[in-house]
Amino acid sequence: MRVCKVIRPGVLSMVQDLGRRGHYSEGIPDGGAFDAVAFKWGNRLLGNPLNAAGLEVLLGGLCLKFLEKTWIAVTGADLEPKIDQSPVPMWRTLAVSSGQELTFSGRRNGLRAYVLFAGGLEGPLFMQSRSTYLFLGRGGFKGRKLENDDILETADVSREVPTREIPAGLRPRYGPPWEFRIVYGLQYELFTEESPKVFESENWLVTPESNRMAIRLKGQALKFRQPSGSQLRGLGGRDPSNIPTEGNPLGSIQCPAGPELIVIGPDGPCEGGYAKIGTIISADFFLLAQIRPGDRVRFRSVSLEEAYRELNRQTAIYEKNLEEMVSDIP
Amino acid sequence: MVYGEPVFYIGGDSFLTVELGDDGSLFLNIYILTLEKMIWEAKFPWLIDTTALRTTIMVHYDPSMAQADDVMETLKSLISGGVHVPEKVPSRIIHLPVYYDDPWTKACANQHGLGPNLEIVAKENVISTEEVIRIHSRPAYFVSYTSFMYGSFGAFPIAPFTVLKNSKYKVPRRWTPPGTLGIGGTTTTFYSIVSPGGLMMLGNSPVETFDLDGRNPFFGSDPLLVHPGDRLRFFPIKSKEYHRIKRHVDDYVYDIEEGFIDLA
Repeated sequence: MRVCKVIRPGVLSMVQDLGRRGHYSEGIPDGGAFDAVAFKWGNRLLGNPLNAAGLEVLLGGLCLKFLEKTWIAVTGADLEPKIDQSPVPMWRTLAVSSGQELTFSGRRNGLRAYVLFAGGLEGPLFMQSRSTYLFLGRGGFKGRKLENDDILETADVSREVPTREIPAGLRPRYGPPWEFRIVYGLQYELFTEESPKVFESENWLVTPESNRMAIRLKGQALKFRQPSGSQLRGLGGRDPSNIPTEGNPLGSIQCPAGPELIVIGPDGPCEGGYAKIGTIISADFFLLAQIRPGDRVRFRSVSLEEAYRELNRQTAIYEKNLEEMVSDIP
Repeated sequence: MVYGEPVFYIGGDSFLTVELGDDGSLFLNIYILTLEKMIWEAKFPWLIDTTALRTTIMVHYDPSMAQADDVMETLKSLISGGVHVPEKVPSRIIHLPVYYDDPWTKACANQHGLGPNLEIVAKENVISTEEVIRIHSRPAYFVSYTSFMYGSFGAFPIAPFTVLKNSKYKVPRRWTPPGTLGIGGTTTTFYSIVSPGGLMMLGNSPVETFDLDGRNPFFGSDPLLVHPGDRLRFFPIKSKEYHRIKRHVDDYVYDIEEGFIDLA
């Protein structure tokens, strides 16, 4: 059904699901909702599959007019959502009726909000996913960000969605302060002994060039040892930060020579030729979606075991608290 | 050469990079592509994705199914069981027209404050621009990877007569015209879509390397023209031919030879 019409698209609003897998060799990154935790909670509230498509809304300005009665949930950054000018709660199912308008007008925290719809947004799949991949102009709504007068569609909603809320204790806590846990690895050995200390003590500044491809940070330049091994063969380049091109893990931290770090995001390049000092743990990756230019970021190293433990803990929360979450609010 | 033992690098809790050698040679590349195929054929339940480059394979695994130690042990035993690189490897040769020294890459370089890149490469190699074109369009190239962007390739000359050396942009370009052929070190890279870039731009190809909308019947069921393991030859064309091909690009019939690489 035609669920809503875009009255104003805002800064950057686009369709996302949980992305695609298995296409790095073809140069297609995984994509998907950047703050996948907020995205999944929204779908859980509505009783949707976790992968049901919704909207990722960067900063304010979006205005949607509903064309049918339905249920939605707004999660992620608090961009002051309102329905017909009245503030509405986030992390909670909302019944909306035809003619009502949802707007985002401000920003209390974070950067990206999510609007999930009962039944999920419909639309063609690109490589098994409805995630918008702007770089190639594919996926989501016609491969592009939303524009005025776009009409979004969902499956028909045949059942009532009860009022549910994510308990405050289960909602992700957004900074500042921002701290990301990382696991050292990859080209860690290429850095001088002091570099990890600098890396973990610096308050890295988020720059405006950050987007879904990469978060770019400025701080004190990390230092490299003398080039060795395959570097000497000149496959990568002459600078000690250059390596033969290799795959880029999601959340890996590239260090070009200079005072800048490049953290690979969901639409990031699948491969690259700069040394990587480590990788943000999967359990913290979603938080990258919510840091904003001008914010400061710190890194703290943890063991690989802790990274697995944290990921398990995060995944388990969805299951363990289902009963609690879905209980109707009196 | 291929290392006696693979070297593993931890890429967080879901990725592992396996380094198989360090020379980026033709043999190493074919070894890597053979191993990558074996990894997929083994249907490991934890396998999400692989990314093979000139010296490494990155493995994306599902940490709820296996952890780094398990994945490493599994891959080690797969490798020590033998990676059988055949003496004759099937490899097509795709002939691609290139308008070297074209006006679009020159305009792009100019907008980024640089002179024609072909001239820069010529100067660094102390030869003329004509010689750069001759050297670049002479050898067959081996496609090592296509993971740079959709429709792209990274290819290196097989047994080059002369290797072109060049530096990269000190500050990467904000954009690169689609169809651009760039050169960095020994690798020639194709920019299939508008994107930032740091390689010196040699020319532009009028043909498409992917067809997601079924515009050109030549593509059939595979939207990608070039795959790792293919070989390429670049043949120089002039402005008139460029525009002729561009006008009829949806009817373009690619010149592709079936063939083998003989490693013996």
